[in-house]
Amino acid sequence: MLSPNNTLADPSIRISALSKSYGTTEILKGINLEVAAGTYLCLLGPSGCGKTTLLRCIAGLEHPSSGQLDLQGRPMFHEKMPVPVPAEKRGLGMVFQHYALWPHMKVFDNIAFPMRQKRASAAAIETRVSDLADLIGLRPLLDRFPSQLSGGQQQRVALARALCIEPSILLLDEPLSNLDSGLRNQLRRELRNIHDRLGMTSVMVTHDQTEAMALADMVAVLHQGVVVQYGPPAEVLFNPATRYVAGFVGYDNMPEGIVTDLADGRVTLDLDGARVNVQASGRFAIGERLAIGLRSRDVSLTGTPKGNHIAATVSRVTRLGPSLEIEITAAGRPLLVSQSADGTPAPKARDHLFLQLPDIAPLLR
Amino acid sequence: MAGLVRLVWRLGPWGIGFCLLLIAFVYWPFFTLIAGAFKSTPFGDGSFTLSGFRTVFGSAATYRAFGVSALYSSLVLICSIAIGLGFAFATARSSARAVRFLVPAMVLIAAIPRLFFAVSWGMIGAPRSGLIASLFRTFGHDMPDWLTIYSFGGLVWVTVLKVSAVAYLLLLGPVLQIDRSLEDAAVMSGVSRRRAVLRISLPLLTPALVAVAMLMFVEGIQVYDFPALLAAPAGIETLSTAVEAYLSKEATPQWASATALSLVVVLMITLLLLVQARLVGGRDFTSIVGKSRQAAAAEPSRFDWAVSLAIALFLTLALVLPLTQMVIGSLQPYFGMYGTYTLANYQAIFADARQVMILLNTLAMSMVGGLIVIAIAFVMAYVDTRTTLGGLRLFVRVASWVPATAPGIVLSLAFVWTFVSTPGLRALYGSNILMAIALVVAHLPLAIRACEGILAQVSQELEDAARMSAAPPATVMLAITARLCTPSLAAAWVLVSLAIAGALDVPLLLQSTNSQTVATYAYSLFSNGEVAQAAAFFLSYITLFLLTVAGLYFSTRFYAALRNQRRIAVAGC
Repeated sequence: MLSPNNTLADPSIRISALSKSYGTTEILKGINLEVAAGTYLCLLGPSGCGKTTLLRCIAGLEHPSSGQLDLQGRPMFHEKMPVPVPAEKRGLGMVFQHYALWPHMKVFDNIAFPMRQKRASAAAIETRVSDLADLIGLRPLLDRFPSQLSGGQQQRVALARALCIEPSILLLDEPLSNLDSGLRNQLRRELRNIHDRLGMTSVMVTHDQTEAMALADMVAVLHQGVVVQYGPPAEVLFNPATRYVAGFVGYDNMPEGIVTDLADGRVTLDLDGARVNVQASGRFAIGERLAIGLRSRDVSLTGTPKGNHIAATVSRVTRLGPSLEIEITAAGRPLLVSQSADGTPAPKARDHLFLQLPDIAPLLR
Repeated sequence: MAGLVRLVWRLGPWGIGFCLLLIAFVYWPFFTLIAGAFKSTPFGDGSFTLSGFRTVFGSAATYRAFGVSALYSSLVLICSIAIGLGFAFATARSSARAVRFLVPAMVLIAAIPRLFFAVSWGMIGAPRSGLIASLFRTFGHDMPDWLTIYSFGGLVWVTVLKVSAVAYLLLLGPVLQIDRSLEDAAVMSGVSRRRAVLRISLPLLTPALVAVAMLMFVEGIQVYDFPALLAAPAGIETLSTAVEAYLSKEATPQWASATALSLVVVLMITLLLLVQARLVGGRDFTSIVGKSRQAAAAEPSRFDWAVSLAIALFLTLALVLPLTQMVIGSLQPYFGMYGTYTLANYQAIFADARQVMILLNTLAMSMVGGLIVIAIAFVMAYVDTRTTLGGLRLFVRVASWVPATAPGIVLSLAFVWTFVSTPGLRALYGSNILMAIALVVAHLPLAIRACEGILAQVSQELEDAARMSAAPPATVMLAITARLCTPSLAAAWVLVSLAIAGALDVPLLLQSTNSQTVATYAYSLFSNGEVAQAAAFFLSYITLFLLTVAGLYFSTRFYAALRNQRRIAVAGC
């Protein structure tokens, strides 16, 4: 469940049993991941889950305490190595959260720096930097200092610098979190475009699930130093592996019930007397205690019952911009319903209504 | 064993070379000092003896010197912290107009060598011929004897004037850092602003105050030039002058006693530094100094005039008066002869090839030595903050504190032992090179603390970005970090160079007739009563130094402008 069942023949990144601790604090606890070449991988999780530490271990800026790390089939770290391969010899590109552009160098020199380390000829550098400038739309800015650029421009320069030596693996540490939302969407599209055009493997750290879902081919959700789910975005989004993942990707209601019946991929649950029947993937047993993952915006309140429903009482209605947040009590527990505020009359407190459930919903242990 | 192999492998030839350098010039002198305390003399075959310790512990003078040093250090630390803290609060909170002069003036006071102050105040407060005495005379009185600067009171007075500026600069950061909203919260809870400062802000400052107080106390025990010039003539010995007295005031130099006393002082200071590290939880006070928030605009107060008056008074006493006295004194044909002024003292200096050589030698030694100090200190601070090798960090950190435990006079004694007793190095004894090495080691701790503060301003991400761009560690340090720190490092270089030139205690035992420095020469002039010449000599050096710094500054500016122009030309075609 945590890693793809069949191991990849020639993964770009292979991480096995990787752990990292500072003193007695364990940050990463036995991470296993295999990433196919050309994949856009997002490491998703809240702050403090270890995702940045994992990225820095891949980069070589920090070294794991134990485990093994191979990049492009070359071992970078394992316990028996006298000295792990240092960051500067791994041939990776990296984009940092706060851009990390060197303030004493012009944009051109910032981008050219990695090539200069490889003793490339001036002509080759000139060609490469101007190609990158065209790719990322920086041409008019090459002769400026970083402090004369806006945040979005600075992050573009940082991206160009990371791409300068044509790395086979690009690492991105929350590259969009410092930008305002309009710019973030634009740069997000550009990131994906560039990734598709250049065909490298990208690993991006983010705490924003919509960003991860929009960009990634594969998502690894981290929680307390462990990969709790690793799969394509749709799988993580519609079939979260645990209640924690479900909560993180937006399932804000998780009422618990007991399985009473199983038939053709459909499961019937008893929620304190109310019967609910949903389509769900996975193997369950009768008598098992499960939670149904329900997004507040995927459920609705109606006056007449039809299909999957539970009787509900409205306790409070709050207007949140264009939508209404309705707190209800159903099957003996508080739940949230989110409803568009246009047209339809809003329910009032103490109204007795029916909570309409979707036909398909993830069931969580 | 495998661990050692791994360490050597990761250090590489440069790292190993650097470690050997530290062992040879930082660790080794201290081992020879310890060994030397049990030997009769560094020259020839000294025999094992405990006579040094017997003399030191059996002599009442030792206990007296200890008492004087402790009292002197305590008085200096209390007064200088009170003054420094007061002015730091004035800078942060007062709207008085004079406040704006505080930072530049205090930097100047802290930068001017102690010897300069000692000589200058030695002139102002001299019994018959000084400025104060001449003021008394114009009103037809004789200056009362108790007012003389050559006394314990005079010693404390001059030291406080100088050291308050250092305390101010160290405390300014923490005071500016105090979160005003904490104090505001106390005021909103019904406490007056004054009580809020006492109850909230001062307790918040405790770690910084303790750290600075400890530093002041240690400084008080180590300082040599003030006691040597102002207290020794009155027969008052402190610990550092007592060490020197064993070597110069006895019929034959008492090496064993001087070294034994040095060892006692080193142990005492080590203990104090350990206590300090313990009290501030291992945090250096510089880590409290950080980016300061934009302070709230100060409210005009009806006490602003008093603040301005206090600032004016302090700056007059600590800066204007010493400078004026120095200039006037250097123009007098004989010290104390007011009314007639001449450039004869300066003419005499520049007519004498030997004095010109001393000026130029000191200039070269302090400039090059300062550069080496900053380079080594930067590398040490960098390794300390960035290395992942625990053993290396400990090695460097201890090396950064070891010289701080020794007063300059003790350090120079340690170097005498090292150079005389190490075969091969003996040839250097009495040369400029030996003196330069000792001066470099003596100024390392100060420079390392400064570099730590400077390094803290460079974000780690900028270095990570360079490593991810395939830059090897040395390139990261030089092309990114050092380059970004250059302006601050250059300022530190100027200050350290000035301190090296002004150091009296370190060269005292290491000089020979052909390796004198400005400080030792001016000191010998002063103690021979040629006070006007000493002032002229000192001022000549400072002028020469400032001209050199200005010359360097403008030539780098010119070079940068030239390079930019070339770039534009290239871009244009």
